[in-house]
Amino acid sequence: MKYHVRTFFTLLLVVVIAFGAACSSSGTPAAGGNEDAKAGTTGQKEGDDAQTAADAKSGNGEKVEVVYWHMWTSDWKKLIDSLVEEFNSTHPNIHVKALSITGDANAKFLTAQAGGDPPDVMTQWNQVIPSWAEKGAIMSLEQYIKTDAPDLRSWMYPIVADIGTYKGEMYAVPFSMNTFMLFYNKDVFKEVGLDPEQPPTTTQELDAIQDKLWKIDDRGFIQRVGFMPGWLWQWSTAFGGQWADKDGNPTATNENNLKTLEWFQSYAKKYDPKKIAAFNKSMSSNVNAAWPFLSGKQVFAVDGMWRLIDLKNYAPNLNYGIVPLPYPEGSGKPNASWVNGNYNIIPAKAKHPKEAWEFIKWLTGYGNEAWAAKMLPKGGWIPPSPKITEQPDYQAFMDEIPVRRKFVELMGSENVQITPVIPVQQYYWDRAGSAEEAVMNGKKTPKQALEDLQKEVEKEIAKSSKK
Amino acid sequence: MASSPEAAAGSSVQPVHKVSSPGVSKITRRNIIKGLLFISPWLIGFLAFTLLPFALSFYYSFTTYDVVSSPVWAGFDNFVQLVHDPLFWKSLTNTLYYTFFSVPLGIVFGVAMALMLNMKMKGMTVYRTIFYLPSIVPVVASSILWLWLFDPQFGVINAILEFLGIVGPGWLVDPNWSKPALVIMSLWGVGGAMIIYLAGLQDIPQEMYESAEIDGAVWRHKIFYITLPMLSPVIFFNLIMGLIGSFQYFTQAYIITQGGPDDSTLFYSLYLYNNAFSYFHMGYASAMAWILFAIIMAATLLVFKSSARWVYYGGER
Repeated sequence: MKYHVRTFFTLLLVVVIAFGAACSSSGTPAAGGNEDAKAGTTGQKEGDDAQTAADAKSGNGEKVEVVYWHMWTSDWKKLIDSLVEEFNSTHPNIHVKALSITGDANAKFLTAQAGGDPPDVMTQWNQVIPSWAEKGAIMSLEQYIKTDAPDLRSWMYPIVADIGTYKGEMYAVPFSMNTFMLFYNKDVFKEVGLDPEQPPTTTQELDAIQDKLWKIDDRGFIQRVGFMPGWLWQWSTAFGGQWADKDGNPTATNENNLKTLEWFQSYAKKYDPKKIAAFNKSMSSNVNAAWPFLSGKQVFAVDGMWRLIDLKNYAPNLNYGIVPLPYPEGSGKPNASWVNGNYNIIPAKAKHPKEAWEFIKWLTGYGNEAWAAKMLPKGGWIPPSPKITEQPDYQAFMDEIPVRRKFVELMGSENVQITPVIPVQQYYWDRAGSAEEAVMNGKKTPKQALEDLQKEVEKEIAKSSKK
Repeated sequence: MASSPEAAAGSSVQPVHKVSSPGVSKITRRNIIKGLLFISPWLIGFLAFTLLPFALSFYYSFTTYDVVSSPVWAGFDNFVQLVHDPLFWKSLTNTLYYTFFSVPLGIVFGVAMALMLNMKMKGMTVYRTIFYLPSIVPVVASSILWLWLFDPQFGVINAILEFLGIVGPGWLVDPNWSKPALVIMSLWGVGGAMIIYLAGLQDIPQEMYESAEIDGAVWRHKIFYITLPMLSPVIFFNLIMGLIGSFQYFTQAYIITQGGPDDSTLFYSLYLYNNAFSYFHMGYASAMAWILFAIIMAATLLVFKSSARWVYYGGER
């Protein structure tokens, strides 16, 4: 009996080991496949790959594999793959393996991190930086910056460095940025007798022309939308709103935040809030050709520089203009915008942080400005550094569609803002969206909504810091 | 027991029997081992990917755990906090609302459709295929599709309502209509349950209908006194599965509405997911999961208890 039990467990162990080996070895063939694909394009011989694999196994460090997670698919993925390809061909000691992580990359990253097997580098939107930094999931880049890029901070636009910085240390370096402006339809301006070259610069001017722009048929259906406020954290920048103080305490009830939301509400009261919501919905979900602005059904839209390509492709005959967000006369902030970017982070448990740093430094364009100036136009992106903007290639890109310059110039504005760099950022962001919806649907007054938001976020901070 | 005839056969057989007795159990034991080995992939999978996470989540529900650092014991903190969390209650209410409407309506529609598709008619297989088709469309794809159908301005549904002289609601962008919209959406995918009803219907003996007809029964008598009672075990099964599924309703809300507008589609599982993966409260999320488990368990037990009153097996309650 005892003998059989032992045999059973021995066999079980064998199965477990076989199972485990099958799991862990699944990485190797995949890597090999990738190498093959690469060999196909760069014309390397198979022997080299075998050599590489052998090196990686024996760990003599001749070629280090850096696993890179990003969030792009389809055409964007191809672009990223080509960037990685360029890096690999110029850095013989490092092989970056790019993986497109679709779906909820955050959840996948967290579980990989918890399991001790995170990627070496990952591109994410900046919202995750403070919470991941606070939890120790990503590493501070200061040690590398000190020795390798001491002037990195001054090299960047100031706002760029701010987003990546948590508690005085830089945790993330972007390779592309986004700013936002107000697009308006010049054809409609002409049609209703407004001067297309005199777009509204203040919210008062914007409000005053609405009656001319909206078109509602006799059955109450909206045929054309004038201006529709939405996206609280974008517009609060023009009102001089603040969502957190210097110490990271939430300031949702800030009077300028309230003014922004009251301004939103004034539109919800004037027009059917449900239809406003409907249009907001369309705005957020409609990519490329489906953007309502293109059809002329929407006279104004707040959006980023990449939309210029959509306009060129899908509505070449539409006459449009672009202005910075209108601001309230007197108290408002001109040239305001909410800014975000694609940031690269290195997980705390990354196996090859040094090589990962090498990769993200290269990608951001530090010491590599001429290349970055050629790369960024491919994605319609804004550079993280004025040193890249200065490059002739990027200048030529801006001259191609002159309004591009306006988006890029916003990066230097003192009124651009970022999402508060506090650990509960994601929660704050979600709940602010809910507060806005509650006001637009007439369920709460702006004051009530912001007070509730403040309470929720304070509670969440207490919950997160409890240990 | 099996060896007793052998034992009675004669003394000469007895030594053989004595030797073979441990041999039989040896074979049995070997068979058990082989059997276990054959199912070991499943066994290991179950232990590692079901039982272990199950046990761990139970432990985590009593801790503060942010996934990245190690969990810290917190006793019943998470559960106390949940009781005082308005969003917990909101998400629970939303989920109960959805369950309350989608499950019964799903049964009514499923049975009705199965009854219609059980008629003898030319080309019935084509119809069956058509009605089953929605349930093999991936949820993500159908969700995007419905997003367009429900568009208040340009959507087909409101266009039809407009044709009928009705001003359609905002559907997914209106806090009062977002949940009904999702319920309607769920009815579209009722084909999976319908197939099971259809199988159940075809199991009902034709003689029952025939003898009922002789007794002068018309169609509604046949449905209420024969079809439905005979189908009740299948309905019972689908009710339980429907309850479990709708309490865990997640994907559609995650893709289409992300909880909005105004938290009207913040379902229990969605809030649980946000807590676990967006807000770093794995402990809190685990506590939510166990409360959900208890709720589903209670609801299922309740249905089981009630089944004695309305489920017929082989014509008997």
